[in-house]
Amino acid sequence: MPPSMYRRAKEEALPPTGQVRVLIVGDAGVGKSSLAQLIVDGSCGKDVARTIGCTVHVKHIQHTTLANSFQDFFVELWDVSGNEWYKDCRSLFYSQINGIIFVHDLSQRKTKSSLQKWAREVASLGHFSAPLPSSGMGLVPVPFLVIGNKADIAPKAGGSSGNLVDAARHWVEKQGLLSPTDELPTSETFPGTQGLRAAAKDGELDMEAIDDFFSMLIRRRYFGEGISTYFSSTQSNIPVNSTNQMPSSSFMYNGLARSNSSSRYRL
Amino acid sequence: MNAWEGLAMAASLALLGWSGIWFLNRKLYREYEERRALVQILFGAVFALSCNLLQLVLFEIVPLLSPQARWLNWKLDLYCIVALLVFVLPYYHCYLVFRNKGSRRERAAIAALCFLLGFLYAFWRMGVHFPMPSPDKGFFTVAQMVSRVGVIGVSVMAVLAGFGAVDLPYSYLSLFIRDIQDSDIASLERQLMQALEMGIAKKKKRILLAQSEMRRSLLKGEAKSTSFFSRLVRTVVRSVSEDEQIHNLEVEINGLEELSRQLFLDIFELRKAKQAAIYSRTWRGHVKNIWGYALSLYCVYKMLRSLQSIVLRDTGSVDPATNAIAIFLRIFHINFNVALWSQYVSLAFVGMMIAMSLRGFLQSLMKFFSIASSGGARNSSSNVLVLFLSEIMGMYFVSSILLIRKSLASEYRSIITDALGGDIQFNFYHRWFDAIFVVSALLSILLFAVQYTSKQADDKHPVD
Repeated sequence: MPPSMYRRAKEEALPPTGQVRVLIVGDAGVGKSSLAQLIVDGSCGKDVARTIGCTVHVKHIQHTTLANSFQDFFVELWDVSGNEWYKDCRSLFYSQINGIIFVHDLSQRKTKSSLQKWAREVASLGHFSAPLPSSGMGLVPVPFLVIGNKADIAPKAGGSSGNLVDAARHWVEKQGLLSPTDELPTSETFPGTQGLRAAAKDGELDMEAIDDFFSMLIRRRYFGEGISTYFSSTQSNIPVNSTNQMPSSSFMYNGLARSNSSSRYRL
Repeated sequence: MNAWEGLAMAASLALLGWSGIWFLNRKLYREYEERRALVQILFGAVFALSCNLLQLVLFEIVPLLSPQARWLNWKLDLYCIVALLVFVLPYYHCYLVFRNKGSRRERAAIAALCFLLGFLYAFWRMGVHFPMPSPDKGFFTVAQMVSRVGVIGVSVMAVLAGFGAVDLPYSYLSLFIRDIQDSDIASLERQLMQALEMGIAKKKKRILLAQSEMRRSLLKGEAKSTSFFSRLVRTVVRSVSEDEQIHNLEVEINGLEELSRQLFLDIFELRKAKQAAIYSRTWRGHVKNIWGYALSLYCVYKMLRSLQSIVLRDTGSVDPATNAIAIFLRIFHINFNVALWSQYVSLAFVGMMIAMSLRGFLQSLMKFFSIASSGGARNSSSNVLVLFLSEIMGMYFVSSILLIRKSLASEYRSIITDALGGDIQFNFYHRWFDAIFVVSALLSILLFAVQYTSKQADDKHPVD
C-alpha cells in the first residue's frame, strides 16, 4: 500500500462525495470486461464470460484537490455488451455519461475502424452530464480515452493476424492493388489522440494515465474546471453547461499540463 | 484426359476452397475469436470437396468434361473427403480440445490418437445395425466408409429438414405473432435500471466496509490495549460481523447481477417480438403470412408422404423430372422429343434442388454458429466449433449425393453407383430419411407448441 494511503487510512475518512460515470464501449470480444476488472481489482481472471447487457464496476478514487486535501469519489465503469444483437436495447445505459473509454483489439484491425460507429451511436443516443459545447472536437461531447487491447498477441508492425482473408487482403494492399480501407478512424472523430496500449490478460496497463483521466473527469464535474489551454485561447469565455450539480465557485482552470508532451487524451 | 482438364479441375477446387474460407471469415466469424490457420484451411477443404461433388452431379447431366476426367474426379473427391472426415478431422478435433485445456503437444497428440482409434472402432461397429456392404471386400474401402458416413449425414439432413419444415411456417404466420405494448418494455427497462442502481449502491457499500475494516485492523495493530483477552474478544466480535456483512452484500450483488442479466434478455425478446409484430402489419408481412399457410400445407403433405413410404415400403424409382414431364405432356397432348428436353429439365430441377439445399444448409450453419458462440461460450472454443461444423458439413453433403441419386434419371445414376462401389443399399437411406424426418417434425411441433403456450401465459400475467 503506498505510504500516502497508509497515512490516509489512519485518519477518519470522509464519506465519498460523489461519483462519475464512465462508459466502456467497443466491439464484442475486444476485452472490455477484462480491462474493467483490471482497472478495479488490479488483475483480471483467465476466462471472462461474455457480457450480457451491462455490468457496472465501481472503483474508489482518492482525489487530490487544489488545496492539497483529499476527497473520495467513486468511478462507475459501465461495461456495455458489444454484441450486435443487442444494439436496440443498449441505449438504456447511455445516461448521465461523464466520460467514455473506447476499446479496440490490436490484433483485429476492423475493431478500430468500427470505433467510429460506436462514437456515432453514443453521441446520438446518449445523455451526457456537462457536455462540451458542440463546437468541441470529435463527435462525443465528453472526454474520452482510446485503448488498444491484446497488445500481447498483436502482430508486429506490418504483420497480420491469423485470419487468412485479412492476411490475403493485407498482402494485396501491400502490392498496391487495393487501397487500404481499414485505416485509423478519421481525426475528426478522435482528434489527435495516440491511444493507450494494454494487455488485460497480462495485467499490462498504464494505470497512471487512467487515474489522470478519472481525476480530470472528477475535476470537470465537481470543480468546474476543464477546458484545455488551447481551446481557451480560441474562445475566451466558454459557458460550461451546468445542468448537473456544480459547486458555486465555478472557475475556469487553465492548464491541465501533463509532464510528458504528448497528451494521451482529449478534453 | 488431358492437362487442360486437370488444370480446370484443380482451379475449380481452389476457387471453391477460397470461397469456403471467405464464407467462414466474413459470415460465420462474427465476433473476434482466436483463429487458427489450419482450422480455416480444413473448413475450406471440406467445403470445396463437398461442392465439387454436387458440381460433378451437374456435370453428369450436361457433360462438360470427358468421361475419364469425370470418373477420376469422382474417385479422387470421394477418397479425399472420406479420408478427411474419418481420419483427419476427428484427430485434430480431439487434439485441439486437449490443447485448449492446456496440455502439452505430445500428450495432446497421444490422447487424440487414442480417441481416433476408439472413434474408428465405434464407427465400424455402427455398421452392425444398418444394412451395409459385406466386409468381404475389405475393411477400409470407400463403400464401407461412405455407407456409415451416410447414416450420420442422412440423420442430420432429416433432423434439419424436419425442424425447418415446422420452423419456417411458424415464423411466417402472423397467427403466432404476439402483441407487445410499449408500456411492457418500458416497465421492464425501469426494473433493469433499478436493479443496476441497487447493485451499484451495494458495491459502493462493500468497498466502504472493506476499507473501514482495513483501517480498523491498521489501528488495531498499533493500539496498546488493555488485556490480551479483551483485545481478542473485540477483534473476533467486530471482524465477524463485518465479514458477515460483506459476505451478505456479495450474495446480494450476485443476485442483482443475475436479475439484471435476465431482465435484459427479456427486454431483448420483447423488442424482437415487437419488431415482428410491426413487420407483420406491412404488405410484405401479409405476403409472408400467405406464404406461411402454403408452406404449412406443404409440410403436412410431406409428412404424410414420408409416413406412407415408411409404412408401405414403397420408394418410387422414377425421378420427379420425368414424372413431371409425363404429366405435362398428358395434360397438354403435346408430342415432341421427350429425350432431348428431359435432359435440360432434369438439369434445372436437380440444379435448383442442390442450390436450395446448399443455401438452406449454410443458413442453418450461420444460425447455429451465432447461437453456439454467443451462448456464453469461451473465445477459445470457436476453433473446436468450426471443426465440428466442418465434419457435419462433409457428412451432410456426402449423404445428399446418396439421396439425390433418386432424383436423377436412370442414365445418370450409374456413375454414382459405380463411384461409390455398387454395394450400397440406396433405398434404405430414403426410408431412414423419411423416418427421422417425421420424428423430427413431430418433435419440432411439440417444441413450438410448448414455447407458444408459455409465452402466451407470460403475456397474460406479466411480471410486476
